[in-house]
Amino acid sequence: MKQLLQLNNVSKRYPLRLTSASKLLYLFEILLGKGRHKQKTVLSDINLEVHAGRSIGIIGSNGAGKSTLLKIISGIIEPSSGSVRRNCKLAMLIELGAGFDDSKTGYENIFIKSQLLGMSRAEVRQRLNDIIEFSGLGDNIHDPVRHYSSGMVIRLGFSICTAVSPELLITDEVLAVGDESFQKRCIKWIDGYLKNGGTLLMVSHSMYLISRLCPHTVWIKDGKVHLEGESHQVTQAYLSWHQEQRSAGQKQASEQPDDGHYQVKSLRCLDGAGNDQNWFQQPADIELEIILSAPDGRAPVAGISIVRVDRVAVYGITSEQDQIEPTPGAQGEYIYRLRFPDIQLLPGKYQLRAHALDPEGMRVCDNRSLDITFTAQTMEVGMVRLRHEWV
Amino acid sequence: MFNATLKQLLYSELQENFKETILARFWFILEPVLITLVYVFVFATILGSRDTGIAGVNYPEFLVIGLWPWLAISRSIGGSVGLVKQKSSLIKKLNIRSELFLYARTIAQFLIYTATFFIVLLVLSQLGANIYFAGLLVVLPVFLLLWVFTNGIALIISSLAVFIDDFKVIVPLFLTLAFFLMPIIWPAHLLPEHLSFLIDYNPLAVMLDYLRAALLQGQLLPQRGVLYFIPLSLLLYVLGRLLYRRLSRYFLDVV
Repeated sequence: MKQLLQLNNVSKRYPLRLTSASKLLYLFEILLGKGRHKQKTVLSDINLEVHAGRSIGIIGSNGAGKSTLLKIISGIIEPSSGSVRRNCKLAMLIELGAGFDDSKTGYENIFIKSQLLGMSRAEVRQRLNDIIEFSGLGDNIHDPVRHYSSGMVIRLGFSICTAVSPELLITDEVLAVGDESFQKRCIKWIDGYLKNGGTLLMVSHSMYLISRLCPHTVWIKDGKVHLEGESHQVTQAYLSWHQEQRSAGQKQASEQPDDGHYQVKSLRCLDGAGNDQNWFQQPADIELEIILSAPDGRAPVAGISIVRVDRVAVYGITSEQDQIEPTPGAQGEYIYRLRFPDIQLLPGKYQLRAHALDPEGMRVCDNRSLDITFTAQTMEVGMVRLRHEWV
Repeated sequence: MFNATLKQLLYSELQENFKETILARFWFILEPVLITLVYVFVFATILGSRDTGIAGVNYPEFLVIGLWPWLAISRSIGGSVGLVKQKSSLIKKLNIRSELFLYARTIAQFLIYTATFFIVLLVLSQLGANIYFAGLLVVLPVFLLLWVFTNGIALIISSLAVFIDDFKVIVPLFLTLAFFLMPIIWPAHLLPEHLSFLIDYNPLAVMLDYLRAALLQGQLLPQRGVLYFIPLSLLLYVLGRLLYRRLSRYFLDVV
């Protein structure tokens, strides 16, 4: 397997606030090779290897250093120490609108941008039709880019980048832009690109996309590699860390007396063995445990709903509709358990939502949600499997 | 080094000079002709300093041969000061080495002024100026050498200017002073004896002198000063590159 990229102990430090005078001082420090300036470490000792065909996802919270890492990998900024070895043709799906000349037409800009990216005129001409077709701009390609919408600019930028036929493709949340149909086209293109042996280095906040497109994931936290390995495990660890952070915040908030509410104390999703789980390989049974609390000794009604990640509702039910009474727990808590045997959800990311309703089942007082993902070996499309037979 | 990226940058740099003007490409010729006319009007007609110190040579051709290389040099250097800041939005987003922008700018200026130099010389000779056409042979090598020299200085200035904001005041001022202190608009023989160091120790003055000797007197054989200029320009170029390389990795810390 060809090694495309290798980072050895890469660190990046930025000088803190620079005034005119301190810039001069900084200059002398650079020239003399002494660093006394106060610096902020953005990345420290990152080691990373990318091999052909093994795409890597990069996750982490905002400000963890992901974008700086991508910029170092792509060569826009140089590391303060450590080395980067690039062994392949790489393209960046970052800042897709950069490098266009507003006053020129989309057609002319294809040449301008492609050549900025290092393609020769002959190469551009060869790929011209593909680029125009993929962009889907039609006759607009002969209008000045100044008159394009931001979505159109991005479409043109994406089309040009894809034409470079890179061995390594670097993206940073690029799939979050453009309209839905273009997003789908991008995903489809990336799927095809990966199938043909392409390699992806992707920063994303979508654990779904990361685990779908990249077998390997690196979690960057505070400028360091916090965890790396098989995507499923890393993204799961990341999500549960997030959950902890969030519930720590909520705990603080809930320490203030707030007795006037029916609340969702906890929502757990359990597998058949009774362990917490948010990743299921179909076929699967899932069991939900919802703990609600009531300030007045009256049992609240529990609601549960399932929505897909794009907020399309899949299913909803309340304990009142099924006329179910909760098991009383400690200190005004009420426990509901709900099982979905052989849940027929198709692969994808879903959100479980638990709702605490007042005892009359009229008013929703509190919500809590949990992301779960289903995987399966199936080509069916949609959200749920419907029982069917060919006759 | 001369890859597709540089070609594209050079192309847009050349276009930038006359972009969206009504006369577009005509300015290419019109601008230098107008400049020449004004200088000749001021320094020959009004001030009346017609003696160029070379027998049979009139002021216009004397002026043009000094002025053109200087315009290429000063516009290249002047244009290099804020270049990194000016192009920072691209430097931050695309992995284009920032010195390519500088090369594109200096090459563009030298291409423009070399091309128009030939045109203006042709016009002057049509108007009766005595131009030695054998002297045209040295024009390209001299301009090339001047480009190496200028590019070395531009590399140094543009990289330092990223850290020292005062350069955007200092450099234009320095260029204006240099223009008047060099034998561009005045002939060397008018310089008082005790100020002769202004010419003797000025490498550019030597080159202008050589260009004039070749084109106006047919003396193609370079003097010793010209030979010194070759290692000097190469040295400046190498120094410029080294400094630029050293500093450019910190540009984005500052810009």
